[in-house]
Amino acid sequence: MLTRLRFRRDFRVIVRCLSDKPSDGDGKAPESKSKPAVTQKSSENATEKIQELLKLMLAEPKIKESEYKDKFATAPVIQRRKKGDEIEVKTEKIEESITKAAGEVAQAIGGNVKQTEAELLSRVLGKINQSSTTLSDLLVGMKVDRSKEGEDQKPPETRGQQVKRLVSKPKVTQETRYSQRKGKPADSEPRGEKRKMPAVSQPTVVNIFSGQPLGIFKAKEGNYGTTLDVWENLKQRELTLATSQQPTNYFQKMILWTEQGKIWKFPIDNEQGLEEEQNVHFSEHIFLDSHLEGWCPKKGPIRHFMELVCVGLSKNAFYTVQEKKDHIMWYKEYFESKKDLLTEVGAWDQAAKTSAEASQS
Amino acid sequence: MYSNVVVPRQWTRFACLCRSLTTIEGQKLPQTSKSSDGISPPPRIPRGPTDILQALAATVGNDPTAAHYKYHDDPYLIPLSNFRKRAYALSAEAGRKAAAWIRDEHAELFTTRVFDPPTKIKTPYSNADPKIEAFSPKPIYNDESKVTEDDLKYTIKNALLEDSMTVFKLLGGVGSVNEELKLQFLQLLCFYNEKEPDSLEWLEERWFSANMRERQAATWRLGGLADQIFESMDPKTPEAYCAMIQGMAKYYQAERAHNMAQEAISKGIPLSTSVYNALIGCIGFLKEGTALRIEALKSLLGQMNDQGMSPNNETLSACLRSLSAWGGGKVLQQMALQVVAEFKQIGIQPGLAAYYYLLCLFCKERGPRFDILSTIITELEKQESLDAKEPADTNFFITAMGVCSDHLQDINMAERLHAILMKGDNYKLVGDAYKESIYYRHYVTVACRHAPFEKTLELLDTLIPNVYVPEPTVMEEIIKTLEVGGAGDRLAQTWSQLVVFGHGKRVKLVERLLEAMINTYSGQEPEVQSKIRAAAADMLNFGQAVSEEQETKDVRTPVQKLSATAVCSIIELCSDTTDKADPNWKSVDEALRRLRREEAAGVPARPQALADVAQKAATIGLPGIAATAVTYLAECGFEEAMSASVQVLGTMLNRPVQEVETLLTEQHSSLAGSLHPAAQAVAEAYNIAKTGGPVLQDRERSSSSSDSDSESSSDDE
Repeated sequence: MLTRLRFRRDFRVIVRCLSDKPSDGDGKAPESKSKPAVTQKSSENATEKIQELLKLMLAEPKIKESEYKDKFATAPVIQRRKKGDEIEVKTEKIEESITKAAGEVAQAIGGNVKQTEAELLSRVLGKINQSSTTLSDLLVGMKVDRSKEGEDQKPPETRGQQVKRLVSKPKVTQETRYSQRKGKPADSEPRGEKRKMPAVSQPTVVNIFSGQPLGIFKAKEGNYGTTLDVWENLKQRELTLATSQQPTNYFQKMILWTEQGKIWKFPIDNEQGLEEEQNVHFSEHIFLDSHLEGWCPKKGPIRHFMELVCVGLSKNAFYTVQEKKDHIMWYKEYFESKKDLLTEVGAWDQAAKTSAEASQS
Repeated sequence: MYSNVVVPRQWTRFACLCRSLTTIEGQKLPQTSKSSDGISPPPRIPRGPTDILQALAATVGNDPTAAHYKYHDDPYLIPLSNFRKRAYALSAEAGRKAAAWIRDEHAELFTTRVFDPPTKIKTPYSNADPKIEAFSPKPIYNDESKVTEDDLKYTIKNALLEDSMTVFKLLGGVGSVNEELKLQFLQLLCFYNEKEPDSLEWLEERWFSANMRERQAATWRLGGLADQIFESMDPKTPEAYCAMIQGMAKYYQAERAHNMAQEAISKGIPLSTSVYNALIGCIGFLKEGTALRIEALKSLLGQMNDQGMSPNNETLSACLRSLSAWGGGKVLQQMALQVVAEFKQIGIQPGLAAYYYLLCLFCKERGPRFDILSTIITELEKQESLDAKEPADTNFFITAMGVCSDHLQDINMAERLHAILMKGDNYKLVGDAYKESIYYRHYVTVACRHAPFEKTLELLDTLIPNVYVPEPTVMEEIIKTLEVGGAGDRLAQTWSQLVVFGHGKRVKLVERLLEAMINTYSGQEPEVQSKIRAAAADMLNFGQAVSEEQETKDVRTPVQKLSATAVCSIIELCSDTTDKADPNWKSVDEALRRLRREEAAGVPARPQALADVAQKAATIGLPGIAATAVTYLAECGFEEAMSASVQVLGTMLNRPVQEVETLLTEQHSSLAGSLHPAAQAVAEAYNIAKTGGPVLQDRERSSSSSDSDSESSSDDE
């Protein structure tokens, strides 16, 4: 910042001394000093002077460059545009005055007027306005000079410096951007901390029951209106869903499984899930002969067969009583459908008789 | 006399027999507690099926040193990072889901009874006897299914929304389902807004699904099936009205819900408390501005009273929910207090959800600090156990802990709150994995910042890693605390924790840790120091392994590299040894190589440290390392390079500094060949530092050739 200020001051001085000369016409304070000196003294002296002048001027393009660089690095394009007009106007004016001044100086020096002028201008204007077409022929020698001078003036950045600069720059911009964007919060945070520090001891205690009642409701027995059973169930479901967690030990797992109906409930009872048969006495499962009464022959192959069926069924632990009955009845129907054949063979006839007799007796 | 004695005795014996018989037969005990022999058994206490299990489960305490029960108890399968916790739990559940899928897809394999004769196979029958509903295949409904009303009942009962919609369509839609069933179906549709709810069966999925907060916008499906069903109902029962209004209000279709409520009232249809609760919940959508909204809320409560509806717990939380949703400010806070007082007057205590909304309303991030939490906690501490009354209850603990951490910054409050959560089975109120981790994030943060150091360590030991794995931000907080507390061994452990928790690749954290290590290093016991050194060396190896992995596996996201400052810290730590044979010197060497290969971002912030290391290495007799360090400094262009190289060279050659300086200012080529390669490199570095920049490319080549010459030449040290 300081250097830039200095540069700017230098710049102003140069501009003033250059631009004042032509505008004031001939003979005013600065000119009267420099010009006579140049003319009076020999050509060596003149070249010295020129060198001095050039060096003075050289300070100026450096400013420009650094200024541009700074602007380019920190400010967005828009801002540069805004200032661009000003700069352009300024440079235009400066350009004119410089050209004039250079011409005058060159003439004063004598010798190869054109060349001195060109040298002067190329040094000065090369940096200000490189795209200027009128001066383009004068800028031929510029590059070589500048590169040499540049090397002399400024040692190349080492890698460490480069990286340091690069690292430090974004940090700065980031910080500024952060503070810009956050604005208030960033400002208020330290303040908040300050405020918090004393406040840590005493946040305002509010008793949540300290309010004044609205006075709308009166306590009375509940009347909750229409109830929606499915809705209530679903609400309960959502609630269990919101609070359900994985079991954290085996007992909880068993609780979960019990609730899901995957395992036997406590107290353990090996007839769980067989509620259908709960009120059926075991005798009904085992003594099935009674179901043969009334249709089955008292003896003979069919009776024998059916008794075996009954024994088999009595040992079946899986059928319900009703299923066992149905099973027997199925045989009854089967035999009855084959009645003709059976009577022919002589197995059923007898049965019919005996059953008739039995029923009579 | 004799018989008189005998008979009663026999009589009691008989009674005894009878009793035992009834016990055996019907598992019933006489309810009378008096018996004639003076022995009075206590009356039977009816027990539910899970009571014994619950009693047993209550005897099992928490073991923070063990992983959660759901994980395999195997050292290789215990997850230690959040990612793994999630992955393992979900994989286990994925297995269960796969099994369920096969069961449902191949239901025919499970619906035959093997003992049935082939002609008698009953198709819809389970192989199991008794049939276990939970294990039987679930019906799959598609467009070809043959369905009955029973199917609709089943789907409604189990909240299978999409299936129920399919069944409803298959049954013939609006026209051909009876009114009662239609009403039930309407309730289901309204409750879920025609969106399939989460399944009850898959706990892990729910636990790990990050249920973001419900969107507060009108999401009610206009003109959907619910609307159609409601239109078709004739006469429209009060239940239908209630279901519709509640559904619309639940999904913030506020205007229509209120209009329909007015319509119902004008028709003389009795509404319900739940309807008013729902309406209160969305009243903010009707009006703009705090004053108008409060007015509307009051008038709605008045209307509710006029209709003779008694408010309940949910009315209170609905009011507070609305109030908290309207922003903050004194007016709303006053109103909230009034509402709470009003309900307390009629004997309704606020529930957890109500407290949650109060906290939202009072404890704003940047607002003035209010301490309403202490009252709430005192209130909750009085209660034996907390019951969840509505799903929003699960928001309480996470919010309250957040208030403890950010708003009040009060560790005592946080501890009291945590004690409440740990009491009984209150832990169910923690919500899901996401909320749980936020809860602990707040808790650990507040403990790190405000608790005494010992207590913080105790807490960290309990929670980490089985209950909670800290996120990077919390990890940073922990590192800061350890740094302040000067716990060097803890910091060394923290590195392994970082690796285990999957934060090892987070460069920022590692750098922070290194910084903390450097800061605490000097004051530690030698034993601890060696631990820290080992950790630092391991960081380097880890980074190496990671970058190798990246190269071989072609990882998409590039791994961030440690900054040069961090690598320098590693070098600094590792070099703190006077033993030349210490393996840590290898790490130092490796780190320096890495620096020179530009595998670290930026340049070191404290080049002086590197210079010191170079000096030390030179003193100890490791000229190679010293040379590398100095060369690096020179290449980076640090001013320290010059003095460092002079000093190092001085140490190497065992000559005073001035002499070395004069030696160095001499013609460079004269030095070449007469020096040890390492010393040569140092001299080279000096030149680089002096002239600035790698000017001596060609000379380096020549010096490298002279290196081979000087290899044979004796060491001048």
